[in-house]
Amino acid sequence: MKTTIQKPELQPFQVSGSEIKKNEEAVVAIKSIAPLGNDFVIRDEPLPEMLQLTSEFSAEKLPGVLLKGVHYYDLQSIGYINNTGMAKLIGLLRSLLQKGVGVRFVNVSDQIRSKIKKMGLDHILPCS
Amino acid sequence: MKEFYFSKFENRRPYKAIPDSKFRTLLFQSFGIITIALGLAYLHWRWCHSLNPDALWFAIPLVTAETLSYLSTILVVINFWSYKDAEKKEPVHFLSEIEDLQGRPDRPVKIDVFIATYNEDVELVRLSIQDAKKMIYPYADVVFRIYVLDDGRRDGRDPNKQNMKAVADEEGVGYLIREHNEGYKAGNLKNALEQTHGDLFAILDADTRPFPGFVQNTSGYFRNKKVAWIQTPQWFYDTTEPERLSDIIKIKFRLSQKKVGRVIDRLFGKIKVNEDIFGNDPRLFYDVILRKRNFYNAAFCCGAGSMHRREAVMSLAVKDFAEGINKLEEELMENHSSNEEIQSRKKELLLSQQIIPFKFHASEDIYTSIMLHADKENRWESIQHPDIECRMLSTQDIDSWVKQHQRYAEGSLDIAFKDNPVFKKGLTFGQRICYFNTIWSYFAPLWILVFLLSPIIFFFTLQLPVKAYSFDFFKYFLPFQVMNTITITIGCWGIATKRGDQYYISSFWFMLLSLISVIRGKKVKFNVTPKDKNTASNLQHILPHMIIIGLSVAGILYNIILLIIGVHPTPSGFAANAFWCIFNIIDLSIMIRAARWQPLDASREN
Repeated sequence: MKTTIQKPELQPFQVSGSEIKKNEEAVVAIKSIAPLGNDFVIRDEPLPEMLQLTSEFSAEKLPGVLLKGVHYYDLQSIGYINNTGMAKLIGLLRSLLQKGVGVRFVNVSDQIRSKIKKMGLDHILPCS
Repeated sequence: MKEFYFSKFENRRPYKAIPDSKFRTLLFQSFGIITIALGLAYLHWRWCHSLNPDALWFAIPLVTAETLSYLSTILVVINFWSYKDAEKKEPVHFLSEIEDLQGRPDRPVKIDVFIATYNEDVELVRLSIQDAKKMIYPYADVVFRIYVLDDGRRDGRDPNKQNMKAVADEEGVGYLIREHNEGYKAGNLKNALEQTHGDLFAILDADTRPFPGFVQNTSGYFRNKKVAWIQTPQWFYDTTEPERLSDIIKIKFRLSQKKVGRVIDRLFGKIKVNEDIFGNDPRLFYDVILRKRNFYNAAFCCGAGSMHRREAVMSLAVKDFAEGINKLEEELMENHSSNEEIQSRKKELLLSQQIIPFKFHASEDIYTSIMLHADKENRWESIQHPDIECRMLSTQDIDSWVKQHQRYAEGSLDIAFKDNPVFKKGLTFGQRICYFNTIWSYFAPLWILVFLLSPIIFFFTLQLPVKAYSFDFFKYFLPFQVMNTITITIGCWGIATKRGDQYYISSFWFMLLSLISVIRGKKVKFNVTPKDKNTASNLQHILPHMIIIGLSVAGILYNIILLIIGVHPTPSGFAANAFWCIFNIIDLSIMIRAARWQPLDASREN
């Protein structure tokens, strides 16, 4: 008889585990962020254009902020993601992990979340 | 244009695809069923009533070989069952025609053309680039981006190599490289996909010269959103031309006198030989075997001359990647590993694993096809397009020819032993049968060897594998063989199969070596000293053929002597085996002729 295995709650891939709780609070405060060179600016309104995470989309355009060893990416403006886009997110995750930086995708819409789950990436791409 | 050996074939035009015929299909299906039934009856009689009890060591291998060969017949009848060409559609203009936009703004389709190269003559690649640039399309806002994928990194850094980048720049096309060669061609394509944006992309080899309608005639199929790739027939425009037998005789015997020459011409002038001496014409494969697999949605990709949907290969890449990590997580959880250990192991795998669109394998094309066909969720479809849309170059000497075919054999057999499509979850029954047909054909050397050796064994031991070549034998054997021949002829209607038949037998040796090397997991190597390379490397391929022919002829002569003296135990047995043997010798000889063939111009100079 196969016992149902309780999968652990998804953690961001990050360097130090004890920072998780503090970072969750910081995430709630991020409504919408836009990159500005090496610094990040917190905006009041979301970006107007709908972004598509497809092959032409370059990762630099993705709004994000680095807080205490975890890089948060705001996917609020992402209206569409395809397989190539998911491969890009994986690539992003890998390149930051290699540098010892954790990653978390925030404000992920239900539509995007279900696509990610469909491809089996829900336990790989850290989303909240 | 630089003069190449194939320049004289520049104006050769390809054949037209065989038109489908409902009548012929029905005829084939009926005759096919009759053939299978007759074969069953024949083999039943063979196993139960015909084995020579005094020579079972001989009888059983032969009847086993016949049974294995009969399985081939059944697979062929199933494969050849019916044509089901996809409906040809107008070339696509907008993204919405090939994908579900899901809220995205519409735009013209983007199409990439990849020309993969490694060490080919850059002027040869230039021809392919120029032909790619000449491709036409009805919509000006659908842009083709052409990229040379140079795994040889010939960008001028090595002054001893030709400069591929310079040629690409001169022709105004893209040039992509990577600083390693991991995954060979599949890795090269992966690198290209990371740097390009086409919704559809074409794969061309360095020598693949597309005809102007290549993309125009194939993009329409992608309107069916389930279509993952299109394969077009690979056509070689440099297969050897037929030569007049009289010319060959005159050159071989150095007959330069005019009068003698005229006599020879009158006697032998009309006979033409050596057409496609290497049996390179793949028409039987593309126009019949692969094309008929459309019926089962089992036509696999063969590399060059194909068009792909980016999203399809990327779905495979992402799913594979996820599966690896998810499997690891499940295993670790079953072993009750701690959360930290699971996270750290997952991270390790995440960093080491790559996102791979085309499987890293010697036969990446067929392997990726199997994986895409097996995707239960997406139910991808593939299409073998019937018309020739590009031309390519074939191998011009027996050594290269054998090595190329060995690569195909070993690649497919490797997949068969490590990830057999017959048992793969997600494939339909028809797909499994078709892939099995491909794999089974690489086991043919086992029964071909028995068929080649049996007459020889008879000639020297005078033992028969059957009780007698009696009326009963011919009553079962002849109808089956005759029906078999008729059925295959109808199945291959319109195509010359002589070379294919000859090479089917003649390939036994290198196919056997491939089978053995895959089973042993080791490559069988022949050590050849450099200065003898040409003769020795050709000889290694035809020595077994020469031995078998020699033994056969010796056997026949020996038996003739026995007959003349009057002591031969079974003259009817001799007649049957001698007859069979002659066909074997004719088929074996093609490889010897190919190994010794030289173009007439070269022979004239010698």
